Amino acid sequence: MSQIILETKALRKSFGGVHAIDRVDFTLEEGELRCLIGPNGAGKSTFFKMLTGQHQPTSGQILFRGHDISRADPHEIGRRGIGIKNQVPDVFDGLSVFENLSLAARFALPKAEARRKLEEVVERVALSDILTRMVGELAHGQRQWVEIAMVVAREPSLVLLDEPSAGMSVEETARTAELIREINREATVVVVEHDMQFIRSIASMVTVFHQGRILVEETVEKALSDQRVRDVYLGRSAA
Amino acid sequence: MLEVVLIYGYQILFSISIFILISLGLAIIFGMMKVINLAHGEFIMLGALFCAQLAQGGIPLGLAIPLAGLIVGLVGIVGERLVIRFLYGRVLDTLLATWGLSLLIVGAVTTYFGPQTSSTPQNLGTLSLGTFSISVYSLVMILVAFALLIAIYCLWRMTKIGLIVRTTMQNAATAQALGINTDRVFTLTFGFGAFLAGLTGAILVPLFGASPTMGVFYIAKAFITVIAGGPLPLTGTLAASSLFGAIDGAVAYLTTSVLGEISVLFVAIILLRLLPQGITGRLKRGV
Amino acid sequence: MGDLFALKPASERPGWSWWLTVIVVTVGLMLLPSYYDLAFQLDTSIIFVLALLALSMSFLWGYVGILSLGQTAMFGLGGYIYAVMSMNTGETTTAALAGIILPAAFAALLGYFLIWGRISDIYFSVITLVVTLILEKAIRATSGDQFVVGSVRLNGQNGIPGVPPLQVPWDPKVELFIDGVFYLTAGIMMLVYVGLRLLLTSGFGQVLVGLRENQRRVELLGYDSRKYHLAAFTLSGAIAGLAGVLFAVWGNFVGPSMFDLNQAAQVIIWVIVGGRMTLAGPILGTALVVYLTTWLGTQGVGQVTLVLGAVLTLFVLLFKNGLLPSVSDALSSLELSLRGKGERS
Repeated sequence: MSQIILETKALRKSFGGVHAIDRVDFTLEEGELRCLIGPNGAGKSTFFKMLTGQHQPTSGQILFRGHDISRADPHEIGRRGIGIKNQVPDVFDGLSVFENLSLAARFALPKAEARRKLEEVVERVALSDILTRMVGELAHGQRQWVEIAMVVAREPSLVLLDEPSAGMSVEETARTAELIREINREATVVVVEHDMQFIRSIASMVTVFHQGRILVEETVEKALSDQRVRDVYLGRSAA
Repeated sequence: MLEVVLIYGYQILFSISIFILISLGLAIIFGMMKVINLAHGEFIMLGALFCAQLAQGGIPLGLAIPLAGLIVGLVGIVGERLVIRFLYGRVLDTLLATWGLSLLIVGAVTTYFGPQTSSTPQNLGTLSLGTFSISVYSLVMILVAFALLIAIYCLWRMTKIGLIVRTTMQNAATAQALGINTDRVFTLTFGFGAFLAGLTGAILVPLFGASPTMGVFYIAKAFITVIAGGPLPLTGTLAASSLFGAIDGAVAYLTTSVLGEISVLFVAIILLRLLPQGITGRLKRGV
Repeated sequence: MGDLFALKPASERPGWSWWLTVIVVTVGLMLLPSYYDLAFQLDTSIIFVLALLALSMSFLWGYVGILSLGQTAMFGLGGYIYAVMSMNTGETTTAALAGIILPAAFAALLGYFLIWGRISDIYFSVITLVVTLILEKAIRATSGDQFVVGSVRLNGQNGIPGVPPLQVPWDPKVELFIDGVFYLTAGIMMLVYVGLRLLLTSGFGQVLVGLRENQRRVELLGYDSRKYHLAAFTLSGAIAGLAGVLFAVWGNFVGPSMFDLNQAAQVIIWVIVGGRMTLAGPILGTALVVYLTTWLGTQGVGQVTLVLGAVLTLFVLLFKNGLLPSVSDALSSLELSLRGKGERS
């Protein structure tokens, strides 16, 4: 019986009269690799932004290991051991890969340990040949990997990724999938995604969002063959 | 009792009008192009200077004032073409570059005209209000300030030029797609803002004189009025001017003019802290 | 060319070439009084003081990303506090310390108000400018006899003359004369420069640089940007206050012009000319511009302002990162093209 690491209770986010997220109850167990999917406007991004502290919920609760983080600032969420990667890469373009990783690793880790962690991360994410390059000059895929490496360097227990494979080539996407599976060996992972192939290659469970609510929560194969999910993606209304 | 009310009313209106006059030009430029023109104070100074020179040359005040305004408007256009237009979108850079311009203008004027103060007499006489007397010129100034506000509003809302300007202000890219020459709109708007500044300097010359370094005195007040007013040039200026003018007028009359200024600055800071986007910051529509 | 002209953020530990340059420059400065007379020392020490002021601003602007127009407020406060305290107590060491700590406290308060209020960018600069204006107006208005702190008249427009020279802390009977002031200001300037450079390689400094590069990423990594910004703002206020104290010690005089817009504009010009992305740049920028303005001053007041204005405008338009980086860039491209030619042949 796995521990629940993340859950939301009756979570709601309204903009004016529109409920972008409408009373969502969500549970995530330790060690899972969950994908959040759904058509555009379904609410996945809004949900994600509330988990990462970038939006304040209108009502309801978000609990991380039992602690209420519903109104936490982004830096507080970072401190709790939640690693976050947004859609648009948030890296230090003007600094080298090495400097980016070193900044990430140095938090809460004493100097010697930070160095060791850094080397370990460089190995894991296979960044050794671009270590001295300016991050702003890297290819899009490489920048995403640097960011993932920065997130992982802090040994988070929960990793939240927003469309990690966006804008990537086929090879880059495959490599990213591998990376995510790697990360999942030591951390619980939540991925917001669009690319179905990608999702198939990483996820066990998916949560399908539709109109601010959770439609179904099943294994990948079951969800993709579920008629309701197909209807929703094709624009027909679901029951 | 009525006397006291009238006197206070006059002081406050006087102060508000000055705020309106000195801020309008800056507000229009800021509202349109998000340019903080720190040379605005110098434009006011130039207006005062040219007006004084023209009046000394024999031209009647009523003519010298708008003439001085026009000359400064031209100076503004030159400044826009040479410097400002390269810096659109870079708010801090325009602040610094226009600061440089202001120093340049002050330096040029001091070198050419010398550092003295000049002035222009006016002969509209005074009005008696019980034991107080108010200069008629001041009353005229108050009327002119509000008349200007109304005139610009009409220009804004009811003319084709106003429409073009508003369109460009809303979305320059779309305006261009509609065939509007946005470059020219920016240049003319900047020139118009400079014209208003020059006009103000000229109007205020009989009251405050003209000296090369007087710009500093005006820019601070205009600056915070514009920022506190927010993105809508007319409404924002009116709102902020009324607030600051009332405080300045009342406090200055009760104590000293320095305390009046300081109170205004304090209130401005608190206002910005509470409403970081200015008074009209949240308003989507309007002027 | 060494770290002195490097454009990249100073997040790596400086190498031996940097240390060597620092030692050589410091020794060189300390030897100058043996070759040049008191007049030269007087003219040069003010540059060290003003360079310190420039450093306080460029540290905040170039490395933290905050354009504060309030440095001259702390500068003026530092000077006035030193003057008032030392003239009241006759004791200068505590006065000097107060002139550093009180402006820092003021900066902390103002910073807290602005940073926790999440005031951004242009509005931040505006408010710091307004604060400086308030102080200037307030001080200028203290001409009357009633404006006295202890036994010292504030004197409004005219400032406070006769500010006592600094006493040597362990031997208060000995006061610093012109050469002493030279050594003191040169030494402090180099100390602060080295201190800031090393600070930037520390964990704290790295976070600051990261915040300038991408605030959101740093926050997501768990750092509270507000605390770091406040610390940097307070430190910068302390340095500006220190510069103010040294100014008072140098000229035996403080006045409202320390607070005014012109002074603030000059600091910005020094920093822009020297380059705000480096620490050494502003020092050189200050030296260059102050020499220029002093020389021009002998030609007539109007010209000085005119040239300063032209310089500021031109630099903002063309050399946004300052002279040094442009020179360094030019040298690098020269080097590259020479190397390229070498390889081809």
